[in-house]
Amino acid sequence: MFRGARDRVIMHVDMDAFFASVEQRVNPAWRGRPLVVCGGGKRTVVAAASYEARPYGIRSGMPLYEAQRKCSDLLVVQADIPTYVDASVRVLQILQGFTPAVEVYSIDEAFLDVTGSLMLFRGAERIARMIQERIDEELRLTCSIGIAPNKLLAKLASGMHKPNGLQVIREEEISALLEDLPVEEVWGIGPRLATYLHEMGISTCGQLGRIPLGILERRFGLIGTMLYRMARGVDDSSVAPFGAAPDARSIGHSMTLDQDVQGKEEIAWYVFLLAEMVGRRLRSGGYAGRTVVLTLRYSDFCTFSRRMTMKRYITTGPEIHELAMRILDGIRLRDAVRLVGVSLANLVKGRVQIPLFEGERKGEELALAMDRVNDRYGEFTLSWGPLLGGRKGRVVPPSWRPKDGDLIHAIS
Amino acid sequence: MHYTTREKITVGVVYGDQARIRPVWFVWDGRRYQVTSINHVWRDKAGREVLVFFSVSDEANTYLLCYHTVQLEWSICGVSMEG
Repeated sequence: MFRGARDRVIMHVDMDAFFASVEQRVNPAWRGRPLVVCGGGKRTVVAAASYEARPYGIRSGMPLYEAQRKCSDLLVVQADIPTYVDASVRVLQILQGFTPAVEVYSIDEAFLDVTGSLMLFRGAERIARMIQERIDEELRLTCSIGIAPNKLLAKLASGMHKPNGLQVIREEEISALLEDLPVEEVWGIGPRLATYLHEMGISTCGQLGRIPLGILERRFGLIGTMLYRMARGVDDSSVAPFGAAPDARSIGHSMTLDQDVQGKEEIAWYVFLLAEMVGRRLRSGGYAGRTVVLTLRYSDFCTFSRRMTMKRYITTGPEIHELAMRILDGIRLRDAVRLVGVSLANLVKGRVQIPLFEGERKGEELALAMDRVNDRYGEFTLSWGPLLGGRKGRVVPPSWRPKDGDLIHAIS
Repeated sequence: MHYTTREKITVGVVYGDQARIRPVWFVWDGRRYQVTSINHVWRDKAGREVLVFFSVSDEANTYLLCYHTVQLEWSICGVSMEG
């Protein structure tokens, strides 16, 4: 299929309307009906829309009230993350039966390098069909698959024929395909960057590819180099197998509040909750960090972040909360806040240094003791007094990857 | 219409290949329900305990059953009725 023995064959597997499709499996009465999966808040957005909802113009990321305005019969289902995680892990196990080089990109997407499996399974398209059949047999779900010489083009291909599609992009087809492709359809070119390009009179990859590298670099810096390569369909990045993914650069959580909040005291509660969630993930991954980033979004959607760096590494919710509150204290709020985010950056993994001062040491020991209780009896079984009675956040961050414990043999 | 509950139930189960289990009937509140289809199966954890959930249907409704792998107990967690 591809020329040359050294050519790579990369596959992108994208589950079709994943959350919505799983919900339609769980409840047969919802099959064939317009359905959206949302978060639990009052002002939530659509996390996934079923294919029956899409003709109404309903898309992921749209505020729920807008989706309901577009379709009066819309079924609204609150996200049930464990169900999706389980389905995702089972899909991953199927994919790993075809190649060990499986990169989990998100809960419903994965890249596979099948170059070494072509002989065994007699071709990439046959592998793709077998994957689709196995996922249908075992989970009654569909996925779309793109096959190409690299990840950039494989991702583009998987989106070309949804749902249950299979698209191959061959080396000799690349330049013709990219010539009229709108720049915003390329993975990595977001709406803001696309707007800049449109302002320069560039709307297709063909036009972008004809701009000299020097001009793009002067205008966009390092991103200019990436744009130059993307416009030509060039991507040398490798498929990072599950378990060999690079260490996280930051760990964070954010949440849209049920209603806009004016007072810092109320914001402080959300900051504490988010800090605790960040601390828990931090410790379970063996990380410690030095830079706390607080993100706020005003009711007019203006969003900004402020950061503060400590000399020592921290791992606990109260420490993250304390620093985030110092940041918050220094901000003069000009409007009500609709979203709060807390993250920790400047991370190190596998830190073995014991804190010098007794208070810090006791704080870490307490957090680890709480972790043991929560590992055994469930999240937030033991928590801090100010957080009792509040909502327990359960979200899928973009950095979601299955944990080792998820990969045990399914009982059923 | 949906409603949630959490009541212990008695379940008749078939053990098959590869440690797969399949509920075939259950008794809830003195009435026996015959499972006609298993719609979806998934696992979750409550601390260390693994819970296995089964979305099953009889001729009329869809039920959410849960198998508690530590206590070896079954419970019904929800019912979805059309209309």
